[in-house]
Amino acid sequence: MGIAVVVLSIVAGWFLARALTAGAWAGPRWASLLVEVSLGALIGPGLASVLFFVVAVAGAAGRGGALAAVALVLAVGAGVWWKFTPAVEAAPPASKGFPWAWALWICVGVGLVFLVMDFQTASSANPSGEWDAMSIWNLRARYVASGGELWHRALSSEIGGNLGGAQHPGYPLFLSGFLATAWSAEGAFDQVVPISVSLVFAMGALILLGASVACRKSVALGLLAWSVLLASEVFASQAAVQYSDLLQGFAFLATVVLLDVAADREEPRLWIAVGLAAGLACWIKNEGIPFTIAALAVAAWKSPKRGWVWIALGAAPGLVALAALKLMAQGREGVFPETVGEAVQKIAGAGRWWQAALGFGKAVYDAGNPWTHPVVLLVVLAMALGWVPAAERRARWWLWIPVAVTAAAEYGLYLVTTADLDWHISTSVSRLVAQLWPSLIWLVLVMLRTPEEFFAAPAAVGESKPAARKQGRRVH
Amino acid sequence: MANTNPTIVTAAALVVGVLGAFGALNSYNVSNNYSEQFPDAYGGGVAQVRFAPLLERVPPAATLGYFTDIQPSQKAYESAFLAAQYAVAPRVLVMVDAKTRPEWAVGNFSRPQDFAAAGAAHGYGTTADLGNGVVLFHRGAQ
Repeated sequence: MGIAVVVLSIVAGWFLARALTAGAWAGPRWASLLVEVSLGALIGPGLASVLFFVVAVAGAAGRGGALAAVALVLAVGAGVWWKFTPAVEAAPPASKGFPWAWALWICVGVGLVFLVMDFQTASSANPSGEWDAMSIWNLRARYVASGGELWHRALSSEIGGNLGGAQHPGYPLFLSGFLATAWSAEGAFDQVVPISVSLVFAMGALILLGASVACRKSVALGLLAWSVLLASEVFASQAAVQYSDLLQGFAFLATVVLLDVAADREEPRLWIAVGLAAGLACWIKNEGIPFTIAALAVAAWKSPKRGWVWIALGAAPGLVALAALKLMAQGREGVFPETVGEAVQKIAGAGRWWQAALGFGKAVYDAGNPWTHPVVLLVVLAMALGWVPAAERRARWWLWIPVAVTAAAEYGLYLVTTADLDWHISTSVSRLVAQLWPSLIWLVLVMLRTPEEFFAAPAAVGESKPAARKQGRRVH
Repeated sequence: MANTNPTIVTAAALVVGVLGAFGALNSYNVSNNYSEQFPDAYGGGVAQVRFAPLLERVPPAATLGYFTDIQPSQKAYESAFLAAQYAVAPRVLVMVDAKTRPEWAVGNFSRPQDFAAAGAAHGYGTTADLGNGVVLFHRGAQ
C-alpha cells in the first residue's frame, strides 16, 4: 500500500504538470512526456506531503487519513487535468538530428545502469539510509505517521537527546511528510518506502535535467546533460542516502526550468506551475527558503501584469505549510547565532571566509573523478560547441539569480554558524553542492549551441534566420 | 574564435558521453567499496533488531529514559543513541540525569555486565533483560 501511495501521488502530480505545462515543451513527444512525469514526481508528492501534514495536525493520521489525502490530491489533479488541459499541436519534427545521437543514447544507458547498481548496492548495505536519514528525515516521518498528538515530536527539540546537531524542530517536512503518508497507508514502517522515494526523487532530478534540455534546446544536448550528471559523484553518492538534498536540487531545477519556459510564453498556468515548484522548494529544507524568496521575486518581475496573482496561487501550498510549521515548531536551530553582535563578530573573522570558500572549492573538486569530472566535461562541451549569441545569453542571465542567491545564503550560513566550522563544512558542504548541481549544469548547457546546429541544412531561401534557429538549425 | 567543425563537435560529444559512463562506473566502484567496508554504517539496522522486543512492552506515546555504558567521548556514543532512537520511534528517548528521570528507561549496553547495578546507579530497577544488551528498567523497581 505504501508503494501504491507513492505511485498514485506521482500520477496526481503528472495530471497537474500536464494541465499546467501542456504545449510549453518543444522537442520530441518522449522528452515532453518525461518532463511532465518528472515534474509530477515533485508536485504530487509535495502536495500529498502538505495535505498529510494538515491531516496529522488534525489528529487524523492513519491509514484512512493517508488514503484520503492522496485521493484528494489525485481527484484535484485529475479534475484540473480534465477541465483545463489545452489542446496541443504536435511539435514539428527536427529538421536534422545529431548523427551520433545513437552513441550518446548507449553511453547514457550504460551510465544509468551503473547509477542503478550504485543505488542498489548502497541501499542494500544501508537500508535505513545514512546518518541524517536515521536522525532527521525518516525519524520525523515516524512521528508524523504515528497518529494522535505524536506529530508534535517531529517539531520538538525533545528528540535528539540534547546531542549537538541532532535537533531540528523547524526543518521543513516535505520528505518526512511524504514518507509518513506512505507509512500511514501501509500501517508499518516498511523500509522499502524511503528507499523507493529516494530513487524516485533522484531519477526525477536526472530525468528532468536531460528531458528539459532536450525540449528547450536539442536532443543531443539533453543526452549530454544526462552524461554530465551521471558523471557527477556528488549526485550519485546522494541518491541512496535517503536525505532531502537531491529532492531540494530537484525542486531548484524544476523552478528554474519552469521560470525559463514561463517567461517565454507568458501564460497564467505556467506561472502557477512556477509558483508551485518554488513554493514546494521551501517545504524541503531551510536552504530552500532563500531560493523560494529569490525565485518568487524574479517570477514577479518577469511575469506580465498581475502575474503575481497566479504565482502566489501556485506557491500557496508550500508557503502556508512552511509558515504553519515554523509557528508550531518548539525550539530553535542550534547553529544560528543568538544575537546580531555574535553574528557580526563571526562575519568579521577573515579566516572563516577563506575556510568556507575552500570548503566549497573542495566539494566542487570532489564532485567527480578528476578524469571524468563534470566540470571538465562542461568545459569540453563549451569549447567545442561555443556559446549562444550574446543577446540570447543576456535574455537568460536572470535565471541564475535564485541559484546565486541560494549559494550566497549557504555560504553566509557558514560565516555565522555557531557550530565548529570545520565540522559544519565537512558534514554538509558536499550536500549543498549536490542541491545546486543539476541547476548549474542546466544553466550552463542552455547557454551553449547545440550539436545539431553543426549538422543542419542551411536556411532555406526566403526563410528567416531566427526561424531556422528556432528549429535547431545552424544559421550562417 | 568559435569552432565550426562538425568533426570536433562529434568528437567532443562522444568523449563527454563515454566519460559520463565511466564517471558513473567510478561512482559505483566508490559506493561498492564503501558498502562492503561499512554495511549498516550507523547501526540503524542492528538497532531495529535489538530493540524490537521493547516495542511490544512500551506504548508508542511513551517517553523513555536512556543510558548506556558507551562513554560520551567515544565515537559510537552518538550513533548508538540515534540508532536506538530511530528503532524505538515514535517513542522518545531522553538522556537520564538528575533532572530527567522518566518512569521507564532503556539501557543500551555494548557488552555483558551487571545490568541491575547499572540501572541502580541511575535509580532504576530491572524490569526485563530483552537480550542483545537491551534492558528495560522501571523507576523505583529496585
